Amino acid sequence: MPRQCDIGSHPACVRRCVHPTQPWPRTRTTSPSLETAGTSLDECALYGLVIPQSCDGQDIARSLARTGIIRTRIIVISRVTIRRQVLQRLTTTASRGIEDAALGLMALRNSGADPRALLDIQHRDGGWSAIPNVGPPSAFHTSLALLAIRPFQTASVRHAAGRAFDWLSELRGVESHWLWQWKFRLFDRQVRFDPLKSGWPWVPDTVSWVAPTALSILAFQAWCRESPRTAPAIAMLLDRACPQGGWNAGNSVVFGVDLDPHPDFTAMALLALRDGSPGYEALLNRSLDYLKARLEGSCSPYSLAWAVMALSAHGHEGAHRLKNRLERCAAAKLDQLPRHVLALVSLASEDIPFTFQEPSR
Amino acid sequence: MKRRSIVSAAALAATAGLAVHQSQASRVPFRRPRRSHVAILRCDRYARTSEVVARGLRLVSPAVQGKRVLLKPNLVEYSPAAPINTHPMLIAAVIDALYGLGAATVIVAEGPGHVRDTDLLLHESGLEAQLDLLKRASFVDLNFDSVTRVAPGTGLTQLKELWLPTTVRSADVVISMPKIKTHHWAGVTLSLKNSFGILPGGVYGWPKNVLHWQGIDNSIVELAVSVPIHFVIADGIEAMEGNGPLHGPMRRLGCLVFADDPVAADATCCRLMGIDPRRVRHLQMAVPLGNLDAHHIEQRGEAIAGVLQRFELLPQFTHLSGDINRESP
Repeated sequence: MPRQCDIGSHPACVRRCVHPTQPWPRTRTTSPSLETAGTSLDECALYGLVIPQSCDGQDIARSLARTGIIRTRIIVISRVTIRRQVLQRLTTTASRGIEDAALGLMALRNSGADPRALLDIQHRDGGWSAIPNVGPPSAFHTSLALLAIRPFQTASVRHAAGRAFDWLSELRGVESHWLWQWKFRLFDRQVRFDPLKSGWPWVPDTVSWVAPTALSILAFQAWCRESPRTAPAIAMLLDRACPQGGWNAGNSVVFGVDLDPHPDFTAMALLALRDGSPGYEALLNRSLDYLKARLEGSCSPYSLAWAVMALSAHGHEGAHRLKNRLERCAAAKLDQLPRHVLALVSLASEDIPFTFQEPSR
Repeated sequence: MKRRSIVSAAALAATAGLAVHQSQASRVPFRRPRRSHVAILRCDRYARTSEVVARGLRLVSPAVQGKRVLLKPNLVEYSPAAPINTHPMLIAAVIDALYGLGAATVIVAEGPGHVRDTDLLLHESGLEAQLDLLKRASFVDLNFDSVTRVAPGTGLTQLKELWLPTTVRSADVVISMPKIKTHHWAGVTLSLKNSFGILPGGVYGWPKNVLHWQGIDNSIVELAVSVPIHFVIADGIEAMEGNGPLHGPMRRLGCLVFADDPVAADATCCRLMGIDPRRVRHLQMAVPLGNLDAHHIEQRGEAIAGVLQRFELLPQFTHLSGDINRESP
């Protein structure tokens, strides 16, 4: 009895994958999950839908290796399969907070998603908090919401965005105040950073950190908003980079010790710096290489997805390899992934990974 | 005369303000037991933790029969070179032992303070593998848990509200499992400081910078009031000295500490590190919550003097160094 993952048990389909010029029968097959449409490459990819969820890319690859199908095509099959599964799960999983909602909206932006639910939970002051009506508004979540609603250029979206950018523009890390700058420059020097270079804090009344600063820069860039805040924020990211490349949560040297970079914060910073920073090419290259090397042996879809998007935005050769890894790892854990990770996997698995810069509709 | 009146009025107002602040700051509720119980057990390697945990929980037992127990380890970030986190084998041994004592459910819960990717941390730290092996305990990422509003009760911070994970608030028994470490901001990080991990990063960010800006010591005590710790099992097999909590060298203290009072647990851990707990600010402030004074702590297992090692302290904390024989009641 053939294994469930044995694609060789469907020779007709395999032949069509090997010879994509052959026409695909435009009739529904015996498998209810097998759809028929599109180009031959899509058809081959659609064939992947009949592969049970328990089969990952490796299973399919092993099976198809015997038929002589080239590996790149196999990966396409696996990729589309997983992305469809992810999108399906996304549409049936409820949002628990703004990160879920905003990333979900980005992932489903071409599938009839509606930004109104996100607009309805905007704070009166213009920001978004992590969870509706819970806690202080957050630069990170406000920026994610801005990035999510951007493709939907309705009047209400533009109005909400205007209020959100006003809120973001007013929110500063406390280190930007002259009194704290003075303290950090003269007395409080255990954490090495330049307080004159300031970005965004997670929440009001705290200092600037990498993730909210990177996401805020991305939001201003995506909406083509000129702001006097973005240049010092970019300078802050460059100032806070770890000496070996990459970014920790916010600082690079504490009590004389170099901090280790974290992959997700590194990816967010790299996305914000994708337009290049003259004079910092070596830092960006070290950071990209770190990201690839750090995640080559890991299987966390969250970090892998952020890394794929960052490497891809910089045209780094590691993007393709990590993308394959992401899809294998996501397939293995699909049932356990929270909504924001499902959305990130979907965004990173797009043919050209999402870069937060898609043109408006 | 008029100027003198203004100056006097300003001084009076400042004094009154200070007095109000002090009275607010003294609103740490009194929960100190008459007597606390602490057991120190030698344990030279993690492979022995099952046996030592079983002995420790016979010497000082938490009341877990039929209860929903939450274990709060110290899981910060992973480095193969440094003993940063509570060891996963110890966590597994404690889960097993608690089920043996009749716990209804045991949940391991943490909201890592520096890392958003908890899955990656669980995998690399080895905790995921241990929990998979046991199949009896689930892990809850407190950074992304649903939250409940709590009104801060001490007045030690300016926070008007605290959003705390529902999983923690709904547990019957909270067991803190700190790693015994020095800390470059707080002096030491033990069971009370370990509660920083309870604050949800999903609401406050990474790290939980709000607590730093409210004053680390104030925040530690505020959290200790809002989320009472019922029992402590501290990992001192491989501890950390110097520039903790991430970059200090490993110090093989070779013991586990069990206690039914977090203040007594932390005081004992300090004494094991050669630190006078009365000089650690947040422990001084937490005196209404537990016993700092060795005379009110019933010591079981090993004597402190037999296990004590003098930990290296950063220059700004050398004043914490103390001698248990010179502590006056």
